[in-house]
Amino acid sequence: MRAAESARELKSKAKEFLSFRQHPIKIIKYTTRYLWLLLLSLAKYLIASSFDIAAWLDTNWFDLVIIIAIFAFAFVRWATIYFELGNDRIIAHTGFLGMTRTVVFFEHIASLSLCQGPFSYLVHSCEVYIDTDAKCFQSSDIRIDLTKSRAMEIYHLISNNVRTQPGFVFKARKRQMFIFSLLFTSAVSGAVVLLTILYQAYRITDDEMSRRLIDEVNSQIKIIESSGIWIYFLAAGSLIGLVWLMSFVSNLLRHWAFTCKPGDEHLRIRSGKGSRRHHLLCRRYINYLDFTQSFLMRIFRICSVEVGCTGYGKRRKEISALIPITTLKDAVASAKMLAPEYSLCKAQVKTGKANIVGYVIIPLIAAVMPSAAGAVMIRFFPHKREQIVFIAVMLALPLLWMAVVKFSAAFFTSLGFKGDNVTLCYCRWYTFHKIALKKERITKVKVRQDPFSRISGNCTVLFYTTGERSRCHKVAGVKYKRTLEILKNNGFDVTGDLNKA
Amino acid sequence: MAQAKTYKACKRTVLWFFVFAFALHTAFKSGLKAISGFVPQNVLIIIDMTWASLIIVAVTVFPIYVLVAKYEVTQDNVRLRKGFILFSHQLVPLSSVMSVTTVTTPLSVLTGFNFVVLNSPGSKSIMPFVTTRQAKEVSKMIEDAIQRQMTGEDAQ
Repeated sequence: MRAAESARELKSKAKEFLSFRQHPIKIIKYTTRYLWLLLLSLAKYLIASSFDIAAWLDTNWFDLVIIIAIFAFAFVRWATIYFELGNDRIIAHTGFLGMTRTVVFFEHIASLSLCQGPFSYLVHSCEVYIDTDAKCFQSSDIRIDLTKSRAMEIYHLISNNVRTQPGFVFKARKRQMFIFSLLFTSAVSGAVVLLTILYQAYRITDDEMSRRLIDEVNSQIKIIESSGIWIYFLAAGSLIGLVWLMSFVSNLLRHWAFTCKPGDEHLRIRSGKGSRRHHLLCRRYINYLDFTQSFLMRIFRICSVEVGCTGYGKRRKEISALIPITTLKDAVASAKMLAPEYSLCKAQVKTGKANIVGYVIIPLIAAVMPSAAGAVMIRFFPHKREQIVFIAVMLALPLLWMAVVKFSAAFFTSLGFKGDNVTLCYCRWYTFHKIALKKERITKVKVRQDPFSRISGNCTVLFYTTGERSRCHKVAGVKYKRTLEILKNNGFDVTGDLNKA
Repeated sequence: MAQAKTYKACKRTVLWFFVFAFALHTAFKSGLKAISGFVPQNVLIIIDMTWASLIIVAVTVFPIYVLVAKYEVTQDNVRLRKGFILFSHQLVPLSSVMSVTTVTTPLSVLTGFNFVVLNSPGSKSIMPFVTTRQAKEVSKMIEDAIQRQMTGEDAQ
């Protein structure tokens, strides 16, 4: 009777111990990554000794002790790393032997992410990331691996007060997403250009040139290299093609079955096929909405919306999507439903025809460089003129494309204020951004002038917003005096009395 | 109307910069002389020319940078004017400043190599080359402003 009671007590204690620990799979993760190599060699010796355990132990005892020590250390680490849950906070004991104690109040959580990959799905574990706006030592304030049920418990505890608005749940249209991603992903054009360059390079090096190069080294290397160089290019080409395909498929799977449910205080985002992701974004900590378009997407009025919120989309291969690729009309309408507090304002100052030269001059100068290099190469290798011209053109193409994009950007860039809302339109590299943000999220405004823009009376305005990373929104080529006036009228008097003598 | 206090970068810094530059130049020249026996003449000329151009650029840029630098601290904002070729005006709302870092060294009392760093989430603003007294004053003013905002005195 007494024994049964103590057994019950022991069981409940063990249950309590386990409920505040990470998933036991973490013990394996804590062991070194290449431990299996050691295990492999041990297994090999065991097989070689025809399963003579005594002899095997006798010869490999030291390796076995090391493995046991590694596992013991991993177990100690797992046992000492734990978390506590309060009504309003989560306390995580992490770091070396749980020596780092991090307290995060639910109210301060900017984003909570639960990620479950295919392997985690099998063992029922889940990676939990908790981020706040505070800068901390690690990439996330708290990062722990828990059982799925325990992770969901925390998820529901944090979103306890969330009352979801009935009637609207944003769901990405799968077929539309697939087609648009395939057509408009910038990786397509990049992969095509790279593959073509590599193919041409292979055409150049496969015959004469490779032989000439190799003749100069020595005959032995010649035999190996003459048959090898073109294979490298082909292999690199196939690799890039494969990488693109993998990246495209994984991107698509990541946003497959994407849903976003707006609540009074939070946005609940779920997505992914194969690896499931649950995100909880606190509305108060959302920094901005970013309507993102490539040039082609802009022509066909296609758009995706990203959200700037601490922790969301910062993990490897993650995008901070709020609305995956869809039509511009749909994106604007859905963004209004998901985040009605953000609205797009009319442009108060914008660039135009006069700014075209300023925008396209640098890409055009850069585009001339491959041609100049090609001309020099032709002097040295006149018999390869055709191929060199082709490569020069291929290298100049992305830069010319950038000039076209920047030409379009000259008619796109603008900034506007309306009440608390700010809208910034600008182009970074090949991507067009329309940012909707609140004035209160701006942490710094910088107005910059170089000698050329000083002559033309233009300036570049950089807006820094709240966030863990220093990301600024650069609106280039707007009228200096008008911009200063607009900024001053909206509480951002940048010059003040500084220019007075 | 918010009370504004304007600060200019410490001119003394330029003098000390020249002294440091001269000392560095002398040390470099002596080093170059010491290795001249082992290094080919052409390489020595290239190194010497590169060094000379670097020194010329630094000696030209630094005084202009210090002359242009001007800061203004009000109860709500900090304004900075900086730059050499790229002139910039910056506005940092004090509501976004989380902490202030003041970098001073024992020698900086003489040299004026003091820096005040305003740490905001997502951005960092530096007020370089202020005197020690100015650095302490600016730091105090900003700290007070942050405290006022936290206690909500401004709202009252």
